[in-house]
Amino acid sequence: MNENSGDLNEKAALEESAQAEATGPAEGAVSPQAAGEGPTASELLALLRRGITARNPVLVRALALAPVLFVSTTLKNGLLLAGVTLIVLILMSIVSSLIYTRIPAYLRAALLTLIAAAFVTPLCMLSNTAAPNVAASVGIFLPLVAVNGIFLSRAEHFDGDARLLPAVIDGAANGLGFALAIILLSVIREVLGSGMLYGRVLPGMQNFSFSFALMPAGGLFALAFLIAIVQFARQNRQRKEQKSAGRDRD
Amino acid sequence: MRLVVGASPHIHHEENITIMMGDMLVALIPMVVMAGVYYGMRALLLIAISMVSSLAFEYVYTRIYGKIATIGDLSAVVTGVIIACNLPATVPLWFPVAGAFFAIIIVKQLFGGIGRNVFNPALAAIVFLTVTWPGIMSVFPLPSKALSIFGSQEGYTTNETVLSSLRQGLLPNVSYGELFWGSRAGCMGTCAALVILIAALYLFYRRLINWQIPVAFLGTVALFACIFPRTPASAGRPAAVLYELLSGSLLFIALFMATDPATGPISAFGRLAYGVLCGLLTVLIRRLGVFPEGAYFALLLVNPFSMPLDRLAWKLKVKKGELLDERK
Repeated sequence: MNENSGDLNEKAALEESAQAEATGPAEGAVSPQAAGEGPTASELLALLRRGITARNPVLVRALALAPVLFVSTTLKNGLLLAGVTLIVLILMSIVSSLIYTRIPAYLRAALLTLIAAAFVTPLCMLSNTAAPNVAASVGIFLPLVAVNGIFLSRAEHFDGDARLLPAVIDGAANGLGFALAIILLSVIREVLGSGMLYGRVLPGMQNFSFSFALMPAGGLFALAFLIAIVQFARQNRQRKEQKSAGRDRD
Repeated sequence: MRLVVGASPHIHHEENITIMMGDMLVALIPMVVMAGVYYGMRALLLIAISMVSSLAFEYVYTRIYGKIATIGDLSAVVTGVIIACNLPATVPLWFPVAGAFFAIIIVKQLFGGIGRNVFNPALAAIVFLTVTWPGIMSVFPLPSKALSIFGSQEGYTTNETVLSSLRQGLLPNVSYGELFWGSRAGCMGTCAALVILIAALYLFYRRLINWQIPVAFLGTVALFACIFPRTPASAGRPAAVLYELLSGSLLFIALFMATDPATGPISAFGRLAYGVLCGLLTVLIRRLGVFPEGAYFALLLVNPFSMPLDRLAWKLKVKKGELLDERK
């Protein structure tokens, strides 16, 4: 499907090269359309790392904040949503890399959402039978994975002209990035909010309760602090890279 | 052209922040005295803890981040006193410390320090404490000097306040004299209506507060109390208005917290609209919300609207073709 290059292709290529400039040298750039031969293993690894860190869907691109804030009150909830999202993202990356450029532009979002709903529905039923309590407390945000912002954004910017393997790797990386964010947040909030972790009381925290952490406002504060830490680390790293680049020029 | 918006208040004045905050402290002294009279050493100890911890957090933050030290401008002390005034005297001793941390570090300094905060720090701290530990913040002691200074306060607490009676549609078991002198169950420094009014008159004379916000705020609440009284019909409408206005911490909030120059609008129209919005939300939250004192939540919700309301006022002025003269 690499023949179907258009404006979208160029846009994506530009974006990718900009990304490559920000993250590393040009020859290590992660290009979705490695013309001719397939992508090398190191490129795929860079793709995986990029989705989790530099382009983390929640902590850097601020996608899918509503489910993250609402669900991340306990680790069980967070794990369930992270798992479902990861599976759906991988499946969707396969589908959208295969069909994205073959469907007319005005139908893409609607059709992809329909396909995602077809994936999410059995997963919802599965989690309703396997862990009914957790599924109930995740509530509406479990079926709402179907209208998740992450895979629509990925389909738009990446899958359209990517080969199957890079698309799947990128989908998995985004899923893992989402999982990392929601698991971090839910660990922080569950420990602070109720003195428990994974539903078990932590030693020495029997009567501990700071219910503010479990409220939406507390979730926003925790997320804001996480994002601040990530931005701080990114800026530090960029400063270091600029410094070393300056030294090389001298 | 590049326009840079400086930190509010955007008013040129011969006085500086230290003198403003000093005046504010002078106006708050009567509240501290009343708290001491009604609740004894316990209240004074809580107020002292609140002041000292606010100053300490301010100092530590400016020190760590290498900012200009702002503890000398007394704003942290004012925040500390206002937080303590709005607490029941029975709270544990670490309570003001938690409030001061939230107010100074999170609401004030992380938003950029004095004048750049979107929300009133003391107000946000009170709301934070109320929603986090609702059990501790919703029981009030009756004024008595028998509170132990360091121990727990189990025996002295009461759930029955003027607000809770109003919510149940009963006539509060408090006389007007008790309302004016503040000898009723409530927060430490916000019950004595007469003292608050006199202190506010001093602030108004010193031009630290404006009349538009409190008048619009209290007027809206009074209007709704008059139209839809919460007291039994036999008590009459004036009683409903008085009880609604003098219950909880409404008077203190409207006069001392809503008029905060950093978080309030500066145009006359903006101030009136701000006050009306506060009043409307107060009425709604007091009647339909979970927490009895809706004024804190109302003011916190309206705080971020001060800039848009000023902008709206500006647009209206321009439409009328008048000059932009806000200060007469």
